[in-house]
Amino acid sequence: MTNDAIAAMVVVLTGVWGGFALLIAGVMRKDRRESDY
Amino acid sequence: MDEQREQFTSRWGLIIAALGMAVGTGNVWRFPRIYAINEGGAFLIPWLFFLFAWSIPLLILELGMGKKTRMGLIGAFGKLVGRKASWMGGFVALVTTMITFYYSVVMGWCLRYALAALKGDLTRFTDASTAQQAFEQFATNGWAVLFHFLAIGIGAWVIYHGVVKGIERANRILMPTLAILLLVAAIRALTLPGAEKGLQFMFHIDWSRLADYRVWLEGLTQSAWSTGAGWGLLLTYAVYTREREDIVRNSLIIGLGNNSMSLLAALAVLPTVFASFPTFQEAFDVATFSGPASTGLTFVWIPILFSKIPFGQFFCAVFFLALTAAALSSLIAQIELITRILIDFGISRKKSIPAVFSVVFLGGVPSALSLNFFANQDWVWGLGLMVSGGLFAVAAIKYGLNRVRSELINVPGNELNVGSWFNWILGILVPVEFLVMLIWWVVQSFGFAEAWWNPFSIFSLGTCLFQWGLAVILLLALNNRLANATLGRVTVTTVPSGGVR
Repeated sequence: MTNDAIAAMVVVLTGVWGGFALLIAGVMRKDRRESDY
Repeated sequence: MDEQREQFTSRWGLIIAALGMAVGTGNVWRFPRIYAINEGGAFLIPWLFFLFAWSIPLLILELGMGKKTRMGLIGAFGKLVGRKASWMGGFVALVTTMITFYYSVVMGWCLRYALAALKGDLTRFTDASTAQQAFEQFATNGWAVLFHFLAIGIGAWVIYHGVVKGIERANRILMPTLAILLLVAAIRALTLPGAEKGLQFMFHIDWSRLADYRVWLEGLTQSAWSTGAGWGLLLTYAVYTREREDIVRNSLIIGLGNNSMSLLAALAVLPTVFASFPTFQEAFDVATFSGPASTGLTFVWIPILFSKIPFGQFFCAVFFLALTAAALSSLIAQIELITRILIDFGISRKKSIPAVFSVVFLGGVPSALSLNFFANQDWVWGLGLMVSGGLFAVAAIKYGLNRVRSELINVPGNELNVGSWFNWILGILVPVEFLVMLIWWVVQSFGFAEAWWNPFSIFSLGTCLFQWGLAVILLLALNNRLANATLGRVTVTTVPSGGVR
């Protein structure tokens, strides 16, 4: 694989999968906070 | 008008059901092929751009409309935009219903292929012509009707059990199963010798491709088709949300979750294709092979490709089971959309199901018997989704963009409020995208081999205008009845002074 393709793969997969994971983590954190009250 | 309304048990119930709605055959079947046709990496840019510029704004709007009105499509449009706009909700519902007819047929194909793969029948195909012949034989006879019957039967059975015990429970099983199956298939694909050729194709960005307007428009249609934005499906699920429920973050989760699954499916398919052929051109031809009714890559080539790799029978079954799970989770949402409208008409869920089952089964039989009919319906109503998205934007503009933000989206329970920039997206960007896309399809259709005006040819502008026109005339004629059935009759009382109140 060429360097530009590797860089694009890292950016796209991190952006999409990472964004999704972060949003899910945000919901989980909120759930935990609410259950603490 | 409304039977005792169920609610998703938690936010996770809504999220998993909505992900099930969004993730369907568009991710596993359509995305890898469209990705390849647009020559790889560059396609990712418009595909991701339109996720944020078309799909997520429409998902936010749908979630807000359903939560605010607590009604299905016809009632939601009538309640928000006015009784005279009930036909608009009816049109969106009709487009999705017509898609449901043949979507159930597709799920039948997936189910049949998953069973055949489990038995080892699929991996005996060694060349494309035998595999295509076998598919065409299956797809146009009584077996296709039987599997269509089974598909709609399974979907209706889930919906019969209601929101919590049906939709939520089924998706809690289907979505993790789908994710695991796709992950297994992707790992297998990525560990094949030569898989890096597929990755190179997927992620090498040829910037000059972005000058081709078709790449942008394919990105938009793929995003709209795949996320379910503008179908009215999320609006329907939003009817069952809790009183304090987030709108924006949930829509972002649905959009990004959908695209995550698309990438996973592409990682399972494209490296397998590129690892199976010595030259780029051979692999490219297979990846972009449309075949009958766009079934080429999935139903013709995937069985052949898996027959060539170690443990191919197992991985072929994994792939088709994943495809079946994806199709079912979306079919469930489509059946619920129709059922919700009948519930709004005052018919109970349990009485609605046999009617919905019968109509969808009968409506899908012609597509189960003829690939030409199937292709025509896919063409007409797939494009109809553009109009559906446009109608949602019209509804938002007529209701008032500031009111949409303050009354539908930035409400108690919402975590990420949208600012006035959202008015620009819904009021200008989405309508412009709709118009550009529509004009593009019209211009493109003049260049087809078939006469553009012919209403009876498979792929023509004429057949779209003819079928959409019939639908609009019918819905306009029925508008008052639809409004009365969902919103109740308007009682006009004459007062002694002669005025009307």
